[in-house]
Amino acid sequence: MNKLGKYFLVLLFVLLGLFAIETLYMYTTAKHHKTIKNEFVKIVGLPDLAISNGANFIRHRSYSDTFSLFSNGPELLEYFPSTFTYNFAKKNNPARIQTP
Amino acid sequence: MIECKNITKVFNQNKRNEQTALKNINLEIKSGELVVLKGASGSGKSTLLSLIAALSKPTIGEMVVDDKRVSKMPDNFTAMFRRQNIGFIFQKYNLISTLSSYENIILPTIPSNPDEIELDKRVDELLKMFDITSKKESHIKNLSGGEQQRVAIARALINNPKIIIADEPTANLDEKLSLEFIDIIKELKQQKRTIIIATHDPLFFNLDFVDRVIEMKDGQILCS
Amino acid sequence: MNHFLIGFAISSLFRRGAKSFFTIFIFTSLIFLLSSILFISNSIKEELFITLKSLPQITVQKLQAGRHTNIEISKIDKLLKLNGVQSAIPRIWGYYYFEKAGVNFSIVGIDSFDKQYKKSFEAIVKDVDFDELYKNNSMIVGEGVDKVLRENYYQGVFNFIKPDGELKKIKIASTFKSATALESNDIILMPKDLVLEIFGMNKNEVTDIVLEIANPEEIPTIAKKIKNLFPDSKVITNSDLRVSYQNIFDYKSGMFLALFIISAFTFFMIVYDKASGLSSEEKREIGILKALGWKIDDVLKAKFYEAFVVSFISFLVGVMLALFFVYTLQAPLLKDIFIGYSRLKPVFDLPFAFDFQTLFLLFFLTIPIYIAAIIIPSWRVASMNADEVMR
Repeated sequence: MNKLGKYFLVLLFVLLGLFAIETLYMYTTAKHHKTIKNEFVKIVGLPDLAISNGANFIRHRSYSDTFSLFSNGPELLEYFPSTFTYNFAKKNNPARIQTP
Repeated sequence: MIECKNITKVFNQNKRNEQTALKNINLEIKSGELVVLKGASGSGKSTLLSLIAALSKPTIGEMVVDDKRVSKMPDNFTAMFRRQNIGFIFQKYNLISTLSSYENIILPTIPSNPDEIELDKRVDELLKMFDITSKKESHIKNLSGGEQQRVAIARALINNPKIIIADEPTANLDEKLSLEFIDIIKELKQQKRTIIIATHDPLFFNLDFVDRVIEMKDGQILCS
Repeated sequence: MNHFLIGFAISSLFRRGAKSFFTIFIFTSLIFLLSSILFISNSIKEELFITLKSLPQITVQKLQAGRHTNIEISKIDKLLKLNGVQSAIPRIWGYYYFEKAGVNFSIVGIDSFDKQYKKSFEAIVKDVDFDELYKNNSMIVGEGVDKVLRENYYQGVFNFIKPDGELKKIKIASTFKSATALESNDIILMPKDLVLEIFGMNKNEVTDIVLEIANPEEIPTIAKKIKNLFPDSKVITNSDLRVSYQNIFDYKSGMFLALFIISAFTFFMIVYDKASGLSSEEKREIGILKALGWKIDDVLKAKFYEAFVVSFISFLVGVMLALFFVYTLQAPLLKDIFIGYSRLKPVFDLPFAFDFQTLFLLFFLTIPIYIAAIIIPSWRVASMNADEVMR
C-alpha cells in the first residue's frame, strides 16, 4: 500500500480507538443519581420532569385534561393535543398497554 | 498470433450519423512480427488497434488473438486478457496526471494484487531502462512530453505483455525524441514481442527492422 | 484484500482534495446534528424511565363536566375494598401561579414532616434539620423555585396569596439536592394542612388518590373495576404514563427525523447529481483504467473503498463530536428545544445513555445510501466500452 493509504488506515484505527475510549470514559463517569431520584419521586409522586415539554406549565401529565387547563400561560387555552394522557380505551381494557 | 476475419466496424449503427470505420478487413500478424499501419487520420487505424486490444467489439467478423476469440468474450474476460497480453501506448498517453510516475506505471497490475517487492523491482528495472529513475515520484503534470511518453511505455510493459500496440506514438514528439522512441521499439523487437504501430510519420516506413508496412484508406487495407 | 486497490482509492480521495473534504464536512455535520438530537432525546427518556417504577401504579382522579375536580376522601374506603389493592393514599397537590415572575410552582402536600420521612429526606434535601422542619410549618423548595423567589426579593420566606386574598407567610427550610434538579426544580413541598389552606380546598376532598397494587399483573383489571365503580373517574396507570412520555419525545425527535430526512435526501441528491454527471476527468480516468485491463468490479471496488472511507470517517467523527457536544458540553442551544423555554429552567446534566440501536439506525440510514449514490453512476460509466469513455 502507498504511504497515504497507510496513514489513512492508521487514522481510521485511531478514530475507532478514540471513539471506544470516549464512550468508555463517558460510561464510567456517568452520574445517574438513580437512588436519590427514585427516593424523591416516591415522596412527591409527580412523574414529569421539571421541563416544559409541549404542555407548558403543566407539571403532572395525569393532571392534563381532555379539555386541558393550561397552555403557554395559565390564562391561555390548550392547543397541543398530544399533551394528554387521553383515556380513550374501551371499558373492557382501560389501560392502553398491559403491564408486563 | 493475431487474426482478423472479415472485420467490419460500424459506429452509431442505424442512426442518422452512422459511420463505417472498417470494411471487411482480413489480416494476419505472426508472433514476433513488427507491423506498421500507415494511413491518413480517419482511415481506421485506431479503430483496428482498439479491436485488436479488445477495447471494443467488431460489428461483423471475428478477432482471434493468441488463439482466443476476443471478439466473443464477455467484458470481464477481455479486461483480464488485455491486462495479461497487451501493452497499449496511447496517442495522448492517457496517463492520470495527478498521480506520480510510479503510481501510473503500476496501474495495470493493481487488480491482480501483486507482490510488493517484486513489483518494485520490476518498476525500477523499467525506470532504469527508460532513463526516468529520477522522476519516479514526480507527478505526471510536471514531466515533459518525452518523459510522459516513456512513463506510458513503461506502463505498457509492466505486465510483460506479448503484444505491444502503439497509436500515433510520435505525433506529439520532436524528431530527436521520435528517434529515441524508435530505439526503444528496436529493443522491444529484439525481445521477440509482437508490435503493431499505427502512424503516418514517414520515419517508420523505411526502418530495416520493420517486417511489414500496411497501408489503410477509408477503412480498407490497400496493400501490404 | 487488495491493499494496492485500497491505496489507489485513498490517493484518489486526496487527488480530489477539496471535493472530498467538502463531502466529509457536510456528511459529518449531518451525522453530528442527527446523533446529537437522538442522544438528547434518549437521555431525557432514560431520565424519565429511571423513576417510572417509583411512581404510583394507579392514579384515580375525578372528572366533573369534563373537567378535573377534587375527589371525595370517602372514596378511599371503597377503593381499598377492591381485591388486590394494597393501599390507597389521598394526595393534595396543585399549581401555584406566581404572577410576578410569570411561573408556575407545583405545590405538593405530604402528611406532615413525620419521622417516617426522616431517612428519605436526608437523601434528597440539602442539610435539613428535621426537627426544626417539624416544629415550624415550613416548606422545602426546588432550586428553581428558590432562585425565582430570590430574584423577587424573597429571602427565606414566601407570601402565598390565598383565594380569599389573605397572605400566608411560609418559611423556606431548605432546598432539594441539585442531583434531583430535573425532577424537583419547580416543586414546593409542605405539610398537607398548609396546602389545603393555600388552595382553599375543602377538608374532605383531595386532588387525587394513588393506589398501590400488590401484583402488577392485575393493574389493568383493577383499573377497569375502578372505572366501573366510579364512572366519573379518570384512571391512569403507570404504563399510560410511560406511553405518554414515549409519545411526546418520539414526537419531538420525529420532527427532527423528518427534517433530517429532507436534508439527507437533498444531500444525496446533490451527491448523486454530481456523481451521475461524473466529471469528464473522472470518466476519462475510468476509461483509462478499463483500457489498462481493470474489470468493472475492480473499478467499483475502488469506488466502494473511496465511498466507505469517506462515509465511515464522517460517521465516526460525527458521532464522537455529538457525544462530546451532548454529554460534555451539555448540548447548548439544542437542549432548549427539548426542555422548552420555560422560565423555570432547571440546571441539570443530561445523563449518559448510550443506545446502540440508535447508532445502528443512523449507520444504516446513511452509509449504504451514500455508497450507492457513488457506486451506481460509476457502474454506468464503467460498463460502457472502454474506447467510448476515452474518446
